[in-house]
Amino acid sequence: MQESTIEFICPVKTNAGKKALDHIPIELKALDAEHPIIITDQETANKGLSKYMVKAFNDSGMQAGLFEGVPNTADANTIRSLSQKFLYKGFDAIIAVGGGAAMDTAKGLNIAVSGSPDDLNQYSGINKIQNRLKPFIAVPTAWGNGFEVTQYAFVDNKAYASPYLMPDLVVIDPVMFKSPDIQLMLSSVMIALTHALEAVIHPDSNEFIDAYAVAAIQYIKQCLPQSLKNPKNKQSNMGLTSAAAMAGCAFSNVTPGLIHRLGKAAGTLFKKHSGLCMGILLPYGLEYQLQNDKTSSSKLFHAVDNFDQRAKTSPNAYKQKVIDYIKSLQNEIANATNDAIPKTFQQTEISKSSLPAIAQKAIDNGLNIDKEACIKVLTAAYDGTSLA
Amino acid sequence: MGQYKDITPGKKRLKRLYTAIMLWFVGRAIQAAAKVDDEVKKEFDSLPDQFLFSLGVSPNGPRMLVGKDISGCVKYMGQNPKGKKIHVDMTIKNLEAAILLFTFQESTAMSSCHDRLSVDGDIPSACAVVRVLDLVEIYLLPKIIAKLAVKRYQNWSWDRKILNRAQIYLRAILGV
Repeated sequence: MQESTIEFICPVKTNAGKKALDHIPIELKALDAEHPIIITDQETANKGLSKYMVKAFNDSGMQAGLFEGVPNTADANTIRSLSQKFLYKGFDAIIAVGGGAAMDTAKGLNIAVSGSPDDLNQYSGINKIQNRLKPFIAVPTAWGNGFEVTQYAFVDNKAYASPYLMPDLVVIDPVMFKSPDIQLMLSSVMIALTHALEAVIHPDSNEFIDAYAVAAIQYIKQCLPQSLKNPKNKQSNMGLTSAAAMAGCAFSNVTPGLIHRLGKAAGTLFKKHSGLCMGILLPYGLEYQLQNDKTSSSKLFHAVDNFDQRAKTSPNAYKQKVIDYIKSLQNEIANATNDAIPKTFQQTEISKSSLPAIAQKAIDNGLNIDKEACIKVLTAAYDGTSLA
Repeated sequence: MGQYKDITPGKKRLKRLYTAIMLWFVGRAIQAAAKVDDEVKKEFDSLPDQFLFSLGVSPNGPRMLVGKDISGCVKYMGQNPKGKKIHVDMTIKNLEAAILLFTFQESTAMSSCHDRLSVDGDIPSACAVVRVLDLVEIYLLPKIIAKLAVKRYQNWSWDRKILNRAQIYLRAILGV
């Protein structure tokens, strides 16, 4: 066997299942914290989910603070005023409940209060944070952006990447998955699937990353049909969030890939959820990336297909089987949502003439692939045709 | 800051009361079972002298202590662990987990699998304590509920189950 160096980090503990929220006080004690601030967005508060967080502290003897006003995207002003409150009240831990904005605000707040508020300007970029931050617990709901458990935070269009931003604990409790917005949930599932698939394909992939990524893909494969059939099924929604957490752990160990960057660029330019764009790009991006990569095709095939199919399929057909599976998933989602989730860019407001701009934005943000190749993938995603 | 508020945690009085009553009764039932049942007696004989175990709810929840006194008799030692040397300390991590356990929605073994219990002490002694708890639960509960609470429901003879059960209930209520 060839000598190789493997690096893998996953400092995240997970508590998932019935009554998981009630474990938070004792987990805080294990993290040496006694006075947390709970941060959540308006959407979570409107759905009445904050009360479950408050109930989790009953009988714990712990005082907490609750802030329910995180805006739709994390911004430095909210973080600055929260950090003043944090220091004034003497909080010592942060609990974020809700979707992407709440998580990003919490991570930004963690940077600001573990050092100084000016650190928010200094530490944007990759691996600039050098010290442990305050204890941070993430409680995702059904409308996350797939980045909750990752090492990334996005504040005011600046990206922060550091393993120290990953939560110490992720709590996935079925009560938080009541009445999800099905479109938002499916978008976040698409981001999770993109993260998992690209983690396997990435040149820096290793066995540890594969373990998390393949488990995430298989869990999504198991839970997604149940969620589509019955969107109120809390157990399958919880399963999808667990899969997103696993995919996030895998994704935090690689750099973002082609589908991720193109999807994010399209989402930012056209004010769409990036999960929708990544979902559209998935089969075409995979077709491009798996062209000469037999090992990844084999790994992905074994993740997505049934055991009885494996013996009947020749290795040359693995790549096509993976792409067919993704397309069947897209069809299933489109049928279940009455075509609310588009399958090609043509079904959205994105025009064919803006595809080069999307490719350029992705390349400006760090995508290391030729512009022509990106435009080829985007065009195939626009028309819904194969790349070849 | 418009949408901020302080939370003062409330108390779950009814659940606390229910858990406290269950722990008190189970503690006295263990004391009674050690006098009545040979298997429970044998489990305690295999434990060290002046062995004391505690089962309670974190952080400041109800607690029971049961152990052997100087003469080797198994006694219910109350609720206060202060100043006592505890050999095995079983802590249920929160009141909700205790309610799941004491309403028999989860057995002791399942609770442990679901990471709701933490055990501080010697593992063989902790296993002996769990066996004693299982035996006492078979005495205290009707079969349909006991089967949910214990790992394996043992089918005993009529006189062992009914006569011993009556003795244990009586002794637990009277405290002898």
